Amino acid sequence: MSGDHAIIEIQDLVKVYTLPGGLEVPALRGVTFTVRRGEFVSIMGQSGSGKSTLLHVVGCLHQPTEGMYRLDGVDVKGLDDEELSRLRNEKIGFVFQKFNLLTQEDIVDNVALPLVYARVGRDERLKLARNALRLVGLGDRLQHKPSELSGGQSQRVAIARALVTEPALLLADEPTGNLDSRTGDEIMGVFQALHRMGRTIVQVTHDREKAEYSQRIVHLKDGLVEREEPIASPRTSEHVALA
Amino acid sequence: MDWLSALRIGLKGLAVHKVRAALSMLGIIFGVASVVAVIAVSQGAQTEMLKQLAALGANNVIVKGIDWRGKTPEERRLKKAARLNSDGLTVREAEVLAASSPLIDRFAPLRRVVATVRHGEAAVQAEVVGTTPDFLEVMNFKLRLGRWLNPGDEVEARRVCVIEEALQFENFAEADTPIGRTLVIDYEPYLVVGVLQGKEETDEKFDVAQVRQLNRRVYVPLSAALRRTTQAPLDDEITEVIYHCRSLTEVSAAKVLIDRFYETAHGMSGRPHEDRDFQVVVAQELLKQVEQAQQIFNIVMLCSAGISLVVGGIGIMNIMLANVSERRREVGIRRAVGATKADILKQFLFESLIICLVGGIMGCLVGIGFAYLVHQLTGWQVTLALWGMFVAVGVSLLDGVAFGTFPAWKAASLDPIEALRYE
Repeated sequence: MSGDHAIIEIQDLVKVYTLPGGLEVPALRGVTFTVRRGEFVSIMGQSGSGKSTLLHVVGCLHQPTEGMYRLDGVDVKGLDDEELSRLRNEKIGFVFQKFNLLTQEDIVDNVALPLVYARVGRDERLKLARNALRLVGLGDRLQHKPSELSGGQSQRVAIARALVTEPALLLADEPTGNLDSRTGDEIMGVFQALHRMGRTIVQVTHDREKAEYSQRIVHLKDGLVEREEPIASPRTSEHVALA
Repeated sequence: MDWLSALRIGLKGLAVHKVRAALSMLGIIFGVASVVAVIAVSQGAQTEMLKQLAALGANNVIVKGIDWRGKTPEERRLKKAARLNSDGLTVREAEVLAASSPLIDRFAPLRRVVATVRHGEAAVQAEVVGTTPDFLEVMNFKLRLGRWLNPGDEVEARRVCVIEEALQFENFAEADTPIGRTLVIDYEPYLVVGVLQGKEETDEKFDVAQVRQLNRRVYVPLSAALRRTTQAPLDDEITEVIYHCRSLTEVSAAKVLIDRFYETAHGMSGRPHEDRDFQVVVAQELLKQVEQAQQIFNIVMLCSAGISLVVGGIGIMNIMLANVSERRREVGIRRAVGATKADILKQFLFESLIICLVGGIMGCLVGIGFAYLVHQLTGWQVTLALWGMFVAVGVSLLDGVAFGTFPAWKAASLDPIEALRYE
């Protein structure tokens, strides 16, 4: 595959939710945009603009109603639950606002979780998980439980989990929403470092400042792309985040 | 997801709520325990019955004379009238029947004698029975000491006897052999020539053969019993005939044949069974009656065991539904990182199965305890059956599948996004 090969290709994407009463609510009304390999892109918009819905569709958690969505060359439309699950497992690493770690597992097992569903053996899983944790600067906290970690550390664990399968796309949903601004800046530093290492990252945020860490902002309004805004000189994190 | 991971995840999931898991296990534990205990008790009963069968002789058809004199005058009158053409049981008719039927290969007539038995000065608690040399083979009894009655004893009506092992122990010193000693039966001395091996006694509950009574017998030649002991007036010649069938499969056929023969010979065709002066008994049938009674017991107990397993299953479903709704977020996380519906189903089903497997194994142990307790309290024989435990644990696993599938399916069909939003 070529270097500027598109990771996300979306064309005229429509997503309509049907409420229990039969009422149809269009959340996306024909979105078109592309993310190329190695890009760091932010999606912004007011609440109700459709950015969460777009994240769910991009993340293969929901199927588009109409239009085309190709993820790393795979046409997502028409895939069944098992195929979508495999796609999420192989191609996407999620980072959530609320970290979403499993409280009963220690952090190595949390990071190794996607590999369980990729049918990787336990020894190999733990090795890869340790590597990913080292990458985000948490190589010394392997046996801790998530409850023993700070917010910033928890988000780093979540990022390690998202990276462990070497996915084509890192997809973050308000990744700094639960963090103070200093820790948020730190996490953005992690993203930028990963970006420099060649990762493709898409984050959804309503925070202009955090969006300015990326190369480009896609503004959504009323279920449509309002405009795309390149950032000439992205912010840089004051914290050197990666080991 | 591989099975080992599913197991690990299941165990961790249960470990979060240990008390909850243990409580839901209780239902399964008691269900399995009752199945194991019921099977142990019923197997014990069956073992006993097999002993009974051996004591009675599985191949035997027994014809017993019924005391025609009856208890009330009315009964007496009816029975006497019925016996116009009958002399009661005789050796002669037994010989005729045995000679004419290929189903019967040998027979032994028995005469119970009402007689006093003494050893020196001491009275001996015993039942005197006169019989022929064939008796030993018909009943398949074993000799412990000396010899059995022989044809010469029978022809000459010799005053010899063979006693049961229990009588030896009660009436002779340990170092003393009873062979060559004398017992006084009705004021005449009888030489003890042999001792029979004791029959295994079983619990009274199932004691159809009255093994205890078998163990108190003194056998004398039939001719001696007829000629040398006091005869009650109007006594029949013999009290019982035991016919030995050639094959176990022909016993029922032989029973019908023997029944017809006596019906005709005693002139009682068409009379109801209670008016006849004989009764035909098959060892197997007696056991069947007991077996039927036992079957009812088994069904009742297995039903209650089944009910407790269902109740246990409902308990598991309840707990698992609570688990699923509490762990919706976990389901969302797992789905987001690539778990398929099948993976989630497997995970929660595994938790139910772990509860059932652990509960099943603990139930087996508790069941063994129950069985032991039953044995201690009632004295019934219990036999622990390995197959019973496998069945019980297998059923409890089925229970886990039956009642764990719905909660697991519910978890699997959660929408990942809805699940992730759950606080």
